[in-house]
Amino acid sequence: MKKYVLDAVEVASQGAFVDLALEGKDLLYAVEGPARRPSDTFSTPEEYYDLRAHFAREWAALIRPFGKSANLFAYLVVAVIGTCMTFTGLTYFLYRGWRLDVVRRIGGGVQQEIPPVDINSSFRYLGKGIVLAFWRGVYFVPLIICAYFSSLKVLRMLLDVVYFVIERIGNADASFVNFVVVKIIPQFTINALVTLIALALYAVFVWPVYRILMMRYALGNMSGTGFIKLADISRAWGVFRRNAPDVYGVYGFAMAVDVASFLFFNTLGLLSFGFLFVLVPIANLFFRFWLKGYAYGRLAQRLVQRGELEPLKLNRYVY
Amino acid sequence: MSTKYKLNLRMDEATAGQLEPGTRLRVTDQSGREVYLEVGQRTNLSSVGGAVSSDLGSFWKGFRLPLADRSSRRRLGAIYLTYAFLRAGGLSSFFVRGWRVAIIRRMTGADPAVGLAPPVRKLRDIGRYVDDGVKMISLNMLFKLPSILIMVIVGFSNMELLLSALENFVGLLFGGESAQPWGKFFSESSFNWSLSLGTQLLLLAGFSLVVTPAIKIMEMRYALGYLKYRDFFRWEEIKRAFLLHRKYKFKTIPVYLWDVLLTGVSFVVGLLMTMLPLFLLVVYPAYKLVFNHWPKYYAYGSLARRMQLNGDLPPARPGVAPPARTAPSQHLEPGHPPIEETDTEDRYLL
Repeated sequence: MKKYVLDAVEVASQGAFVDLALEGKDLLYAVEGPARRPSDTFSTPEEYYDLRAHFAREWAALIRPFGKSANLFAYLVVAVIGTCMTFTGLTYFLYRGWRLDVVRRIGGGVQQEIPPVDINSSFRYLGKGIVLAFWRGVYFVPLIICAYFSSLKVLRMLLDVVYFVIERIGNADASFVNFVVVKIIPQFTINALVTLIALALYAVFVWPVYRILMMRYALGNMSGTGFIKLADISRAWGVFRRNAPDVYGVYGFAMAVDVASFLFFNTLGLLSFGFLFVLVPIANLFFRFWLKGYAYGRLAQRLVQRGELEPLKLNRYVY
Repeated sequence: MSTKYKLNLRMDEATAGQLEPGTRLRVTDQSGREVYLEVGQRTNLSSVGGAVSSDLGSFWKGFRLPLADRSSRRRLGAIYLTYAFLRAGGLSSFFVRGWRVAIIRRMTGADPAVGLAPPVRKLRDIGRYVDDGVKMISLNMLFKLPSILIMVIVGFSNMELLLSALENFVGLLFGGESAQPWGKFFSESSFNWSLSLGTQLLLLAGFSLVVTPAIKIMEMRYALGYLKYRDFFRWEEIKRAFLLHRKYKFKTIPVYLWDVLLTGVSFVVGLLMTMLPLFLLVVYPAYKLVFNHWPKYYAYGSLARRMQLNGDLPPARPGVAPPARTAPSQHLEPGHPPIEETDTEDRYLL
């Protein structure tokens, strides 16, 4: 008895046939159906979606608020103040609070999208920025602990590598493989694994929840202490899970823009021998603060429309 | 065109002689189903290669598809831009994992005119793929936990051989003076193929071979909308997936081997590209998209189609696969009421 594979095609039930009964482990299965599609294609012309036009539209929507002179003036004022404050180190607190107000304005559909800056409001933005930075730190603490302990080991490992290289230059017998296996791999792998898992968990679970809490805080529906209250957190978790595609989409995009612009402008600053460093806060203001604020503002607007977040709560401050 | 079938039979040579190509058969299978067939080709399976090689043809076809015509290349470009850009944000591996699940949805969906590559049109599409990707990656890690533990706890002492082999490989590529031809390398290395290494490797490989296709089958049911996250841990679902894996072993095993092959090649290419960080950032995502993610899941998609044809996988649940030929801005989540657009510009954002 040998194994055979027969390729066969289904035909109409007329004429003479040889009967064949399957038994035991014999198998009959279909491999290809009547043609459902002319042929497989990666994409069809009907599904063409003009990504370039999409970007053009998005960009137009992003800079439309700058068309109004009040907005443009407010933006320039905050850019100048921020740049001047760079030496105090408080710029990014101011920008963070300012961005929170951007989220509030766009999420709530306020007429003037770019927050105006004067003495009172800049102290308010500074305050809110410090609050946000504080909660961000709290949310990051477990990750920082993980990274700290693993970074200590990484530091020690780097020192080992340096010593090893010095040793090897003088002594040709030292085995690289032995070194790597005995010293590097065990320490590195477990640490790297744990850190990567912690990072991944943070990126996909903790951070979107923080962002939703931030949106509620911006719209005035949650106090500053809500970031640590279980009721608020579980509510934000619910909002997150029900709207995961939108939240992940905006979050992923915003993160990528953040990191990309940070790297790009800082590299530019470095490459220009520090001349362009003064432009870094201004560029950051647009890409990392205005753009992200705008994106989260639109997300907040969308969530309010769906009833997931309460609408903007008008409070005493007429911003 | 009518349905094509395959028959796996055990026969003696006399009976096999009666089943020449062109013979008309009435086949009754174990459940009593009758099918009228005409034999096209008869292959003796004494050599294993016969069963596997026919599937490789369809796998290779997957390579051609993304670059075949202009609209395909455009879509590939859009997906590549998203994938490469998201690497900065850290969500790229989740994104592409969910994109792969969406390939299964499109390949098993009802509309024949829809292209197979899932589109990226709005941020919400990205978010949908990231969401699926998070679920799939977490499930994979949980199911593979035993093998990961084995590797971490026990495997270090056996890494030495692997690493010296890698060092030799790199040395041979770049002409290092300590590089040895492979025969000499293995005979002179102080390492010996002990029983423990053999057992470990066998266990890991066997575990992966048995478990991975079952996970992929459950993924297919998830893609079609019949499984939720927690259903992956239900015993009947796991059992059903294993039974399907065993039933389709002539297809699941080649697909799995194809998977492993592509992963291995990608890994080596990635290792070589770490020498040039710019390449890693820009070229590697393109390489992975065209030579790793797409071909793998095209193969899994063809497996899913075959299962559907045989009734082992149900058709896609309504609302899961893209509807036929609607305007791009109307892809709604199942269960969500239509979203009122407040102004025209909103239609294109999110």
